[in-house]
Amino acid sequence: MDDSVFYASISDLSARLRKREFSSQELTKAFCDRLEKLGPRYNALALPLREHAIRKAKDVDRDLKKERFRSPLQGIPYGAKDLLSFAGQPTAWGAAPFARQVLNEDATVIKKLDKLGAVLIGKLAMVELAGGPAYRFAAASATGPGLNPWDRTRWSGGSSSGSGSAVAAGLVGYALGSETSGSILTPSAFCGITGLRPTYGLVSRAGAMALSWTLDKIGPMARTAEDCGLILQAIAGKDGDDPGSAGKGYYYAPQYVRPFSEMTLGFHPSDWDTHADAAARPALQAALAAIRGLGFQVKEVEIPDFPYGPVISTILGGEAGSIFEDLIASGNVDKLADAKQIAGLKATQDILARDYLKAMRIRTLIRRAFQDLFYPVDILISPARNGIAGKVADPLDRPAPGSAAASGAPAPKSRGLQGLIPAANLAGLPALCLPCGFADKMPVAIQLVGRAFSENLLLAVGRQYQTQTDFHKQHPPVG
Amino acid sequence: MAIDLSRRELAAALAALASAAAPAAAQTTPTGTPAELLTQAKQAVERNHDALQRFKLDRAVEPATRYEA
Repeated sequence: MDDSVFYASISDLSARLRKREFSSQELTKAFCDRLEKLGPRYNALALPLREHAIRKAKDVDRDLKKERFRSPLQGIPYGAKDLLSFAGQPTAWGAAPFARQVLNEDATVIKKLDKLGAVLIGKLAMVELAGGPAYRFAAASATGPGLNPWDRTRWSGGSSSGSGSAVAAGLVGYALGSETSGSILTPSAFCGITGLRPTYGLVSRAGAMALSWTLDKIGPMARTAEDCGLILQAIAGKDGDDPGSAGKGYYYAPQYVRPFSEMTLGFHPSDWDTHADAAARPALQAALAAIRGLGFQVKEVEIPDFPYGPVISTILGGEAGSIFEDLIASGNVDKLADAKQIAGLKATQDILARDYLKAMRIRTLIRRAFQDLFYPVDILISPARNGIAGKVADPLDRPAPGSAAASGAPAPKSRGLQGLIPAANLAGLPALCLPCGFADKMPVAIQLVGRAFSENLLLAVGRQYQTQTDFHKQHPPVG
Repeated sequence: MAIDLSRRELAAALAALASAAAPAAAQTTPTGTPAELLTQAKQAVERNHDALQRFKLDRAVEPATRYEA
């Protein structure tokens, strides 16, 4: 099987399966071989599921032979972040204390994909407990630090680290990740893939590890915006098993969005010429120009002024402290890999109820402020991250060497849209990460953030951008 | 959905996960003793408390019960 298969889009693979260029079994075996051989190189693989995958692929081939077409995802191998339960197999949440945990029901998203004929070939590595409440080193995982396929001395990003590196290296057709505050966008940006954080409540979290009930989202990490749309259509929808479910479905229909010329793009110049690391600016600025060139009106906007860091830390910490109370009280928390994370989890027990409620009250204002911000603009655009992935051994709680933040230069006067990741997570807004070029041979990316449930608009812009660029088609030298 | 994966596969997976945990832990280099890190983490909670205290709110603002804008 030609190597190009491993980097093909879902539409392409689906068309070739239906034309019988290869069977789902052949495709699945090829991806399983690759995932099992190369996954450990990037610490991307938590659990291979070859036997299950081949059985499933056989079922799919029978369906395809009878022309029972269920979905574009039918027959295509994928990986799921190890925060999602798969019945009868270990679901370790990336954490040594849960290495022997076996759950008895599949996560809703895995059930949904299974019904459509998607082939789960492995659980993908992650930062332990999805990184909550904070961690200092990339090695905060039972499977070791997520290594970036573009440069294995650099981090893949987290907490969906295996999902990011496995897609980038062509080890899976696509992956599921999750985000509480940055865990889809960061590995997508660092690994040069397309990632979608859906609106809060659009995708069921039933069967997923909870880190923060009011912040957690599950979303696709894939090669293209279109792939993300097809996956989102498959996994979105009302679910009575998720109290946070918005009760809405999703149909991928980017063709029905209003013309871009009738819409306004919100941005701030300081994000692109001051906050961004110098090496990343050319690629980022070219991407901004390309998106503007799609015909949008533009407006300079700044992020509303709120203490996003303390608010999200208090909410996430308060909820994680309750969710993992037993882990902390039992002392098993000490088996985690990252000493800062251990200390951070213990310290969550000191968060006051009134601080949690104050943070949630400020969150009310943050929601309102974003509703106001989205009155005159339709999409916000900013760098997904200000620079490239850092070195694996570098502490994550300090500015990366060589970054704008570490340069000692005075802080920019404008806050621009800095802090958009925690802010938009607090407001439950969707975001699309699009690879847009390279700096020091490492990927850089932009993010588009829209109103709640505006995924089709974000994906329409992403799709159009990806017809004009080929950054999403570039892949690291793997083999 | 029927799951009947072999016990051998399950045992191998569990063993792999268990053995992976040790080297990962060894790679982490804490910058401080556990007690010092706990002190720092508690100080961070206090800093968040202080930042929230400085933010003045109208009494009528209720906690968020919807999480999407």
